[in-house]
Amino acid sequence: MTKTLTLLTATAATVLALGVPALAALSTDGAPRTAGAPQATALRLAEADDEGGGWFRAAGRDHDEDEGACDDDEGGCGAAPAAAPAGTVAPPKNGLFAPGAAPQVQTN
Amino acid sequence: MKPTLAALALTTALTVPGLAHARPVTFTATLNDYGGNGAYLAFYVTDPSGAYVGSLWMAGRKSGYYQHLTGWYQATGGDPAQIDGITGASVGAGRTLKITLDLADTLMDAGYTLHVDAAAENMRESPNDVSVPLTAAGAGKTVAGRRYVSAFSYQM
Repeated sequence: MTKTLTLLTATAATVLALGVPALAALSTDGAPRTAGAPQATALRLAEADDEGGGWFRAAGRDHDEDEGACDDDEGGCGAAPAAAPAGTVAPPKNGLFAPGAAPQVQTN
Repeated sequence: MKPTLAALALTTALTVPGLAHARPVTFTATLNDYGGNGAYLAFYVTDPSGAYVGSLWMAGRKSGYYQHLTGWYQATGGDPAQIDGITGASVGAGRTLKITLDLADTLMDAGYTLHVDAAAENMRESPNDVSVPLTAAGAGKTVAGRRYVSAFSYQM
């Protein structure tokens, strides 16, 4: 009986010794926190970013103006419909343009 | 014959004042060599209170990426009708984009501001990369953008 009790106590102590630090290393959302990179540092970096986010590549998408795998020009990707390219319809009547005058565009 | 002449006179009378209230303006934006894919640029105008008035040009055709032009997107919700007929290709790093359009005279010296939002794939978004008041005095003056646009000016 004493031997069983000793074994039980030793097992519980081992589980506590290994388990508690492992649980503490998890953030509240369950994602592992990297050792040596405290949350406060990450927060400070995020706060320093005053210009919004970046343009991150969508999974499985390769952006190419000419031959993208996901071409919104053809109504793909579930995005909003593409706007009509210049020259195909008149500019919007937003009061900025002379009526019917299409912009002339040049890229060098 | 007389009805034709009358119709001609009427259309001329209606058209000429319209033309007199617009003038050709050329916007020139030169991009930095930022080392990425073609940049998306949204040119749009806000009124003296900062409210969105309309768009002048959208460089970049894929609507899925417009959300990264955050100032323009917040103002329009990405509505493609805002840029129908004024949408073209994105602009490569180091390239210069020139847009000439007949701009309404009422926008000059009246507190309106031209904004250029910029973004490139895998790189930072830059709302208001350029923000300049539309004034006759500002014409011909070159300003630097914040991230992607190295030089911007407009000529009348």
